Amino acid sequence: MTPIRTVIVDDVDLAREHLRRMLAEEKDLEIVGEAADGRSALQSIETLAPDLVFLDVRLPDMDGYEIARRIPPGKQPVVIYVSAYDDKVVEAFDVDATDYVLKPFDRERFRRALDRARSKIAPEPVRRDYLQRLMIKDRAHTEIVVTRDIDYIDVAGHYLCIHVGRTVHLQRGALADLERQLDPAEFCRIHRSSIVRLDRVQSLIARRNGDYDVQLKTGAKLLMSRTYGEAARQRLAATVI
Amino acid sequence: MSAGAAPNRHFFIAGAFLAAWVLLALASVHALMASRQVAGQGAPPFDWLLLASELLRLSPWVAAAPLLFWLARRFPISEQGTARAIVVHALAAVVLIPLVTLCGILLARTIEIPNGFSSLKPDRILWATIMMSLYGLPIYISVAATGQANAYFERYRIRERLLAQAQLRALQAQINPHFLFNTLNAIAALGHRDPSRAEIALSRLSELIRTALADRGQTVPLKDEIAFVRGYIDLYEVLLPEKIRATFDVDDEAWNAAVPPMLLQPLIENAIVHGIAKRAQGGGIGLTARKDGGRLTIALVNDAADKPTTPGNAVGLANVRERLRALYGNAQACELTATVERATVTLSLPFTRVGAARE
Repeated sequence: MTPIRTVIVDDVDLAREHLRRMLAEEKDLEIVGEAADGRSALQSIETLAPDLVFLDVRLPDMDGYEIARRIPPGKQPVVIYVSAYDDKVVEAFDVDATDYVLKPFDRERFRRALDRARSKIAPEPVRRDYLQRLMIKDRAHTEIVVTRDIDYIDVAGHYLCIHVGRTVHLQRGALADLERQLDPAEFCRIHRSSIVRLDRVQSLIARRNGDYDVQLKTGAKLLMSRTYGEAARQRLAATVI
Repeated sequence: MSAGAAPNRHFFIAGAFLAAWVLLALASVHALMASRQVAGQGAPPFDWLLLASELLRLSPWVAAAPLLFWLARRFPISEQGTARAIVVHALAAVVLIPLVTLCGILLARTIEIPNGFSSLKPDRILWATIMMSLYGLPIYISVAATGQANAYFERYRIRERLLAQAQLRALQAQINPHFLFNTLNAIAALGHRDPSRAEIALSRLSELIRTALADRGQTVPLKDEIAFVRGYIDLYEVLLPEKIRATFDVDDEAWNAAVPPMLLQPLIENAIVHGIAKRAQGGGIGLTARKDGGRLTIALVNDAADKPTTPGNAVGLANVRERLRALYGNAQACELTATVERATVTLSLPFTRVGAARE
């Protein structure tokens, strides 16, 4: 398997060193180039044609988005933005960012970004071994939650909130990652920030703007957004039968 | 809580009333003289005695104005108690208008002018009072309305000031400097012993600071507060491993209830610093939130310290109490009950739902 060719762009030496150290543990990655400003970043991206670029948003001569826009369309690598500022996050997704990591970050967050990049570069085959149990670790205590007991999952701050009746387990992680591990016959993403267990759904109520209210048997009411609505409604209909 | 804060405004209001009094008297004199002119011949000279008489007749209104203002402040027409306020004002009108009118007539009688009140026979005074009271009604309503507006403005200003103070305090409470420096110090030490744990601690700390610094508006969903608290406990856990076990028991309505940002943080800090951190074997924190009727009830239970602690934990609680009072007035409660084994803080506030999830 060929390694993922990676370029690191940051004007701060220590920040590049930090990324290098984190990447050193990833066997499938190879750092092919580094740059400390926009101009040399563009140059190395064009000549080296990397698969993946870690791009600082604020650089002395231009910002990271400017770089992304200047790369010719055919040569676009997967880009993970790295920044201490959270005021430009939205803009990142205009230039098709794969992830936006806020400094300072830890290994867990970094791995999550890398996993996203990996699945974009070489999509995994669809998995069949879906999770039956979630292990929710609270230090010494590990709670085991059977997926059949979950009503729904939503997001608050940096946490996934797993609702089992009135008990809420908070666990760090990304909703998309959890979604991939859950059986699509049992769970359905209905919103950017929520996944519902299909057999808990009581009814759907259309709202004026194309969104839906999803009423659960437990009494909870969740929002289903248009973006997920079409696919989700079909899945719901399929399970009702 | 009365506003002793704005003497300038009180002078302004008093001035406005004196001006209104003089203007009203002048208008009345003008009308009376015009009616004479129709019958008489040419423009008569300005009748100073008539003005004096009218000023006297209206003067009891100036005296009654502070009373009406007091009534407006005491019985404001606001969200609560509108019906009661209207009843009080109506009763006051029935008593005050004839009384003020009668006083005015009696005062006006001291000045002798042709066809003036002085020529009124004593047995006609009652009749005159009843008739003149009809003219008193609009005056009463204007004064009472001004009083209501003034009372509203005063409440608004007090609320604004309390909110500003509460926001400031909240800012100060958000990240306790002690906590911040202790954490940084611990991270510096961890950096030598366990770099990857130091890294985790730093990124947790920066998440907390980012949230604390963000302007999140007057209220946030309870779930965001719970996530913040979870982050706070997680950071504590990196520094003091295996100490805290936290459970969250929240019903679906309460999960999205609106609460002031950083409501729980001082309470969690108390629970850890004065309770669990002082237990050799660690301990548990349990948060319960329920919607019952129109109210949101949040209870935070923690295992108490092995040994008696300093009574320092009143500060965080006082802060929470003050903010709740500024936001909800008397429609809230915050109680601490402590036994040897555990401490419980119970909050009760009006339930409101945060609008549809932020897109």
